[in-house]
Amino acid sequence: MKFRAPKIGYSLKLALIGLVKNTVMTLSSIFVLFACLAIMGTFFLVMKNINHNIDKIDGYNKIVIFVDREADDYQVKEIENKLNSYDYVESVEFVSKEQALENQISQYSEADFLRDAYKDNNPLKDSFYVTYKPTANVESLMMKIENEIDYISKINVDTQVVEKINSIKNAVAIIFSWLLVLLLVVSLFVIINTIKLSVFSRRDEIALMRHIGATNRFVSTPFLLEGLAIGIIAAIIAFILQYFIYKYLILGLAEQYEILSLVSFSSVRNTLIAAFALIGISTGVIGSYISLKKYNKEH
Amino acid sequence: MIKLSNVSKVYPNGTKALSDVSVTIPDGDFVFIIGPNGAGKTTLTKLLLGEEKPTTGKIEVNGYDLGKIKKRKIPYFRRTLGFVFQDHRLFPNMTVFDNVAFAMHVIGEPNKLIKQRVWRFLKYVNLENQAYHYPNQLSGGEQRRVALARALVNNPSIVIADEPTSNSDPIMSVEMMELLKKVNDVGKTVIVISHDIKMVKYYNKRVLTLNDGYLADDHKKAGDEDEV
Repeated sequence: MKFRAPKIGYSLKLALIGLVKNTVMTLSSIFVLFACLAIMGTFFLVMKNINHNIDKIDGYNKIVIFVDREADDYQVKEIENKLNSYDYVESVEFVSKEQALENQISQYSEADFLRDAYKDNNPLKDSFYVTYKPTANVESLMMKIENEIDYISKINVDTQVVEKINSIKNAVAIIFSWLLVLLLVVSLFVIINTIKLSVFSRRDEIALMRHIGATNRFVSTPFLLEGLAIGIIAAIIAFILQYFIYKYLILGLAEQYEILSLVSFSSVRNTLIAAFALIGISTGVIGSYISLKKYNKEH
Repeated sequence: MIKLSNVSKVYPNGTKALSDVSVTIPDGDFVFIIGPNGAGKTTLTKLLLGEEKPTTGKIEVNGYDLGKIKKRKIPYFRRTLGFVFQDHRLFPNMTVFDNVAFAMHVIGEPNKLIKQRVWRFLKYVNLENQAYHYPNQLSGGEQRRVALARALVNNPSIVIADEPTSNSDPIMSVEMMELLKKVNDVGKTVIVISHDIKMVKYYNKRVLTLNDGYLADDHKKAGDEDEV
């Protein structure tokens, strides 16, 4: 007798029959997984927006570099080029000593006399306002600038603000990670139990398959496909709901009441699609796999 | 061929279901297994299907040593058997055609072959007009014939039927037995587990009688030289 691998088309048909036949269990699995994904997505958007607003706090992720008075225009340009070449540097803004004086004068009323007083004897220095990327390590960046660039007289950074903001960011990231793990465990647990119930309710069917000569793979494939379908459907619903709530409700309210500056949905769209698809599908498939492995072992 | 050598089966709770059973059923034989409730018929069937392993002794079916068979080989062994359940066990959500085809899908046969063979066996059991009916639209006898078609469609060398005439009227019982006889006539081994002594006598085939776990009698059909 020839032995062939079961056809995927037939397994798909059995999976579809299973999903339709066990409507209540299918819907409850989709709902639970969708709820977990929606909560995960919400936390992700909250975290993104917290970070987005933190990054906007003045003085954060900026360092000021003062240039030696001896440096000529060519050397100042060299410094600017060098700073721009660093990976972790987002932008470099040059402020000449004349402009710096003007900025100072403009801060005080009736200080125009300073302009004449310091016309030929400007005590200020040329400077660069360097904005670094949120992922940069500010201390190592400062060390690199000091070691690699000449004609630097002083580097200013508000390390206290940086440290405080970094600790807030870390706390948000840690809380988010734990919530993510917790929700993943919950969804996995629910999927395992739902598929287990589904397998149990179809135990006679499975027993018959085995009598006819079905392999574990033939018995398992429709259930794995069911898990996959549940994951995909839950991910699609979660994404669509997230999209409409965020784009039309949250962004709309934020714009109307000018509460906070929020990240646009398009900037997080691809991350959400990838995360929902990955988490939804893997939870569905892994959940089915675990419950079937246990069932196959027992029978 | 089926060969049991000193087979005993004791369940973990201590129940002694079979004791020192030795019997050989050659290819192409037709055998009835009879005995009262609790005699060991169900256990013997489970052993023949590879559902249970013997506690002691050796069982060989179609070249497989069922005491030593690996779990992953069992599906391939079962494909050499056709089993007709007492309660038919048809899928209620599949048509007659799909129920029979299912056995072929399990082993990954191509759709074209499935179509050909399923129609052939539906004709064989005289159910081609009910191919697109669902099991609940069929009579008990018809359901049993669907189960027989499903058992035969993969061309097994041994067919085991568990109480194929229970809950049937005499006409249906004869119809079913005639089909099994036809299966035996083409060289397949047929084993019928039955309580119907009248029918067993009528068909005059080899009869294995189990009693209290022992093989109480191995009655060869009339005309055989070594009749017990």
